[in-house]
Amino acid sequence: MKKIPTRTWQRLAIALVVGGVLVLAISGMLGRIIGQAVNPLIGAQSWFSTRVNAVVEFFTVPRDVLTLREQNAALQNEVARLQSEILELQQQLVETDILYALLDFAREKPENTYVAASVIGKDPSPFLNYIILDHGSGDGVFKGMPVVTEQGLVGSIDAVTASAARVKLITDQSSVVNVKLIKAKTEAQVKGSITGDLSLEMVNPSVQITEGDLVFTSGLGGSYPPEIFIGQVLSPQLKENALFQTASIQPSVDFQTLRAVLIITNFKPVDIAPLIPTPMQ
Amino acid sequence: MAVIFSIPILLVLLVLQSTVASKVTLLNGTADLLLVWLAAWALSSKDRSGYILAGIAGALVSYITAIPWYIYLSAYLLVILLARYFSQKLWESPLLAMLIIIMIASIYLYTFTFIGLRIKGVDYPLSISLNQVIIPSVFLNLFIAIPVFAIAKDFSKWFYRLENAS
Repeated sequence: MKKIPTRTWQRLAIALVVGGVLVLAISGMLGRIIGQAVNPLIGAQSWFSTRVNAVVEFFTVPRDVLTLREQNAALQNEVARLQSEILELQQQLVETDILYALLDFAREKPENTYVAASVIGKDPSPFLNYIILDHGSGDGVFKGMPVVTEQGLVGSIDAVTASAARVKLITDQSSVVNVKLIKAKTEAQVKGSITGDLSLEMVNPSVQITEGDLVFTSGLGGSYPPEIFIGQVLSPQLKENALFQTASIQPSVDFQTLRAVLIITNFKPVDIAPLIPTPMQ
Repeated sequence: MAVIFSIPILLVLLVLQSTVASKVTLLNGTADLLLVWLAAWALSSKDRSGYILAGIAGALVSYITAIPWYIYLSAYLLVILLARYFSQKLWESPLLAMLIIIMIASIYLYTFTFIGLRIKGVDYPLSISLNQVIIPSVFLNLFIAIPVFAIAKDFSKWFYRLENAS
């Protein structure tokens, strides 16, 4: 009998092993067998890895704290930046609301032309109720033009430069506005005061003034256009033997929080001073 | 040199005056930052730059305000005049001098403003002006006098050290 060479046996064995592996792989048994063989190895690997990581962490924790601190500081900076951004956006939102309200007011009275301006300051003297606006003669703003908000009358332009204007508020002591009362159907004057309060004066004592009566500009005197809201009557007073009635006025505009206003640019105030008769000498 | 360094400070104070200080009120009174700063600077400085600064400050405020121009100008010049006088007389207690100057200059400023406005034709009632504006404003000026004096003194020390070094 012819002896089969060793090399042939080897090839046969390899072919059998490969064939067996293929059969196992095709039948799906290979994965399970490999899994069972590798599982102890994985267990050992995990055990070893956990211990090694613990040792590594022990030596690297201080460095991690520093990194964390840096990250924390960076995140805090980011939070601060975002918070300031939120505040800025909220501010812009408030300004947008104000501008929308002013726009609505301007749309309601399309016969007027307006210039919107921001309030940038107040007169330094505590005796005066004046504000400073960021628009001036360069923007078509001139002395005497009325200033309003969507809530009502604010005042009139007192002085202008090329890029700024000073407004005398109706609450100033020297301010006098000719007005009409809607319910009482009479005319009167609204005067300012050093404390910023408004008072209704020069009201005929025979007229009955009621609390809550609405006060609008009358247009008399030519300083302000008619039909601009000023406020409501509060606490009318009729003193005995007084020539006129008085009342305090609740202004519709909050003068403490004024931020943006509209200047009516197509209104030209009339100076009636030369028409007022002077006593004969 | 002192004038050049002080002009930006005056401008910043003017902005603060018309934006912040005018809203921080006691009744209807407000503090006058420029007046207090001028007094503090005049007491701390070693030269006569205060007069020029008073002129500049008076012109700046007069440009903004509706008050007659001569009122602020004269009040600020009076501050410097008083400071020069008191720094010679009360040289050992500058803080006391500061308070006296602020009181006299504030009373002068607000009383003169009251008179000036009445001359202009605006009828301000005396008792309300006194109770609501003049006394509270004087009090506020006195209230901020001490911190402003400390800042002005530090500033003048820094400034003169810088001037000597150059």
